[in-house]
Amino acid sequence: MNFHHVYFFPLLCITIALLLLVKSGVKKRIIVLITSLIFYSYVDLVFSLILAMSLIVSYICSLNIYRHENVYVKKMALLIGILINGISLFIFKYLSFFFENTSILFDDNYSNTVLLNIGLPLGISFYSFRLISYLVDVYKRRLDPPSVIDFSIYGTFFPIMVSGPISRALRFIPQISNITITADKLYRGYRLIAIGFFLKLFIADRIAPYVNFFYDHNEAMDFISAWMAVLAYSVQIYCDFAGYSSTAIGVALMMGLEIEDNFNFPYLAKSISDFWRRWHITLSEWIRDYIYIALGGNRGGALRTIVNISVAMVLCGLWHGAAWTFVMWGGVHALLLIMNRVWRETKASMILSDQYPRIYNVCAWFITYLSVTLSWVFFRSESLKQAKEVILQLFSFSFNGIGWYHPFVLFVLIAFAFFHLLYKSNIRWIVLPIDSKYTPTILLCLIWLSFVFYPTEFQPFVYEKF
Amino acid sequence: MDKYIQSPGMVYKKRTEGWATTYKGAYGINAIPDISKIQAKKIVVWGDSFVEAHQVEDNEKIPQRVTQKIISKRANEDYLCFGAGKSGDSLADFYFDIQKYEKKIDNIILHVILLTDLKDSLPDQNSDKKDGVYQAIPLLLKYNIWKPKYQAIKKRLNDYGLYFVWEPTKSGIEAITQTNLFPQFNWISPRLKTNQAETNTPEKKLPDSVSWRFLFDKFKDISKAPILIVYCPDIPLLKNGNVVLEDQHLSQIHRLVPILKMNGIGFINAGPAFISLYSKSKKFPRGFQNSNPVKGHFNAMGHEIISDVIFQAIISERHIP
Repeated sequence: MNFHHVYFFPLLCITIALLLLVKSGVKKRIIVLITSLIFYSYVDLVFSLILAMSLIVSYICSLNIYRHENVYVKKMALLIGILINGISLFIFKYLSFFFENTSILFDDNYSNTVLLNIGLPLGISFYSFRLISYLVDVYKRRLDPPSVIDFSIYGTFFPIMVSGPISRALRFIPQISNITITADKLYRGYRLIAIGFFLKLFIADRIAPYVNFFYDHNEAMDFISAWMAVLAYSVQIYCDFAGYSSTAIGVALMMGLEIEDNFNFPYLAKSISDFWRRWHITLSEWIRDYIYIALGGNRGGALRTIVNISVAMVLCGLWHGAAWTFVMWGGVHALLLIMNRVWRETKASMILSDQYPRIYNVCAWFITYLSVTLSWVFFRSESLKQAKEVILQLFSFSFNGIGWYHPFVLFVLIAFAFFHLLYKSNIRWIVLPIDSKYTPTILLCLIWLSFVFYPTEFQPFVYEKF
Repeated sequence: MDKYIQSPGMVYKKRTEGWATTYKGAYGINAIPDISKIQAKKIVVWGDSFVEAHQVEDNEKIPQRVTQKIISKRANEDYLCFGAGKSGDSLADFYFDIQKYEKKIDNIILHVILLTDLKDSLPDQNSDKKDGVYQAIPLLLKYNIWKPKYQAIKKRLNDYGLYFVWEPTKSGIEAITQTNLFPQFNWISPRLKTNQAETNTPEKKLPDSVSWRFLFDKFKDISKAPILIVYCPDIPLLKNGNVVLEDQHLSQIHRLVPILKMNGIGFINAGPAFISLYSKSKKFPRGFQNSNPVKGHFNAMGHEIISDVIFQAIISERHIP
């Protein structure tokens, strides 16, 4: 089940109605838990058992961490909990990739034929990370283990199950004991859902066929079409993912629960580190807190910092998918982060930013956006070979080939740029403020547009694959 | 006429593939208010959505271009080419429609049938949008009036000025009716129900040539006017980044042509003209900037190429002196 499925909204409406009718906090939690279980088991009943196993093991480990005084026992419990979640993620997501690549090394044909089509449990990348962060937070005494029901809700909460945000237990669990639905939350949730649907259905899904066509036939396209497709993909992935996050946060809000924001105009970033403070915020914070800082962060000297950044970003890339293209994408971002760090410490950067702040900011923004957009080529390409071909094509300046300048894609690119410009110019009505009188009308128009122009080829959420 | 056709005066505005406005006249014919009142010698181009061609303006469509070419060559004689047929039609439909139209419209001197997909000449097609039903076992051609769905709902919405809600309503109905509502106890996500008509289409059990012999034997008796089939293969084709110029159905065409000849039906293959267009200009006869650049319906260039092919055939075979 997903937000776009027709039976999702009846389920949500019934859940909200029950939460409004019921007064008891315990009953409200049970309602939320049952809804989450229905949501998950509807898609894959058998994979629900995998989820259940992860939850049971994580909870037992957290209890052992909390109750035992012995540091060794605490560490072992933490390790077991992390390993079980990590191994589960590895088996379902990375085992095929591992076999494919090791068989190349050992020339073992048997490995190539191992049947590993066991599917990917829905949201495993996201819930594994949530459970690992929960265990670490309990270990570091930031959080006491909650009740079984509250923990189960945290582990299965359906709005964020499929594609995040990766909500921290620290922020999520305390809310569960006091689920309150107010008119304000309902309206704010509705606003986020309307925006999410618009971004996903009207924008992302309608430019996806253009991007897909390009990547299916990139050798035959001219370089302008290549640029259009690459830019369009940067818009598509943002609108797809931000649309999902907005919808997920909106649904949670309508149920009385606040979830962290996941995006903050990432394409306005003026450096790559700024980009990662604005893009998939919950993931980048998770990577920072549980991998980068755990490895030592920037406390071990320049070389150690470089290594830590590289490991963190390569793992971030790998988290997105079991393919070398994602590893490369992570590696590119590691390189960009390192270069940015080195540049910031040069005298030239300080002088330029002091003396020519406007030009410096514009150049910084342009370089950041260009770097991020070019890195998306690795993210989207089917192979490293294709990624290389596309990047070379972008700088070939060759008009040989098919020129496809789809009017709607052009419109979206221009409108997207214009929207960001207006936001940057502090024209706030563009983001539909909650207290504004015209916002309800515009929200209705967004929903209308989403359904009138419902895409004939519906695209699954990009991050659903992860 | 005992068939569904668009009402005269209807205007179709196509914006999602191409950008054009089509005006419907009597008998569902584009751009001609009432063909029966025109005394000229008439050439009919039969086809499905490729001839209906809502993607290009009326004066750019194949029949109109053929008329213009004839006028430029035979200015002092009265010839008119018009298109007939609707989206989804196949040869089974044309078998019945040729006879119906000849009763209503006189002075038809030639029938040109545009064949864009060989499946349209074979039995056991999906019967949606089709009046003519062509079944394989036993071989049979029969008439079955097709009616578009939801006409009552659309009319009611139109009466209340609410026609604009039709598309989202239809999307909603389809989403509900096509989605499997029950959990699947398996490893993969629930699949959407496939289109019932497609799944119920039985496999073709007869060899092509047997079906064609039956069909075209019937065709030879339906009109005194000659019939010419213009085959428009799906080439050039873009496949995995490469442009393919070979028609994968050539072997079937080689079996079809003798059968057509045997029944006195002319045949022209427009494939070489498409290849020539691509070779000279790297342009595709199908596709539009606002849909897909290389496939779909014929664009203006495609209409020009085909109209030229038809015109040359008409001249060379002396269908007009």
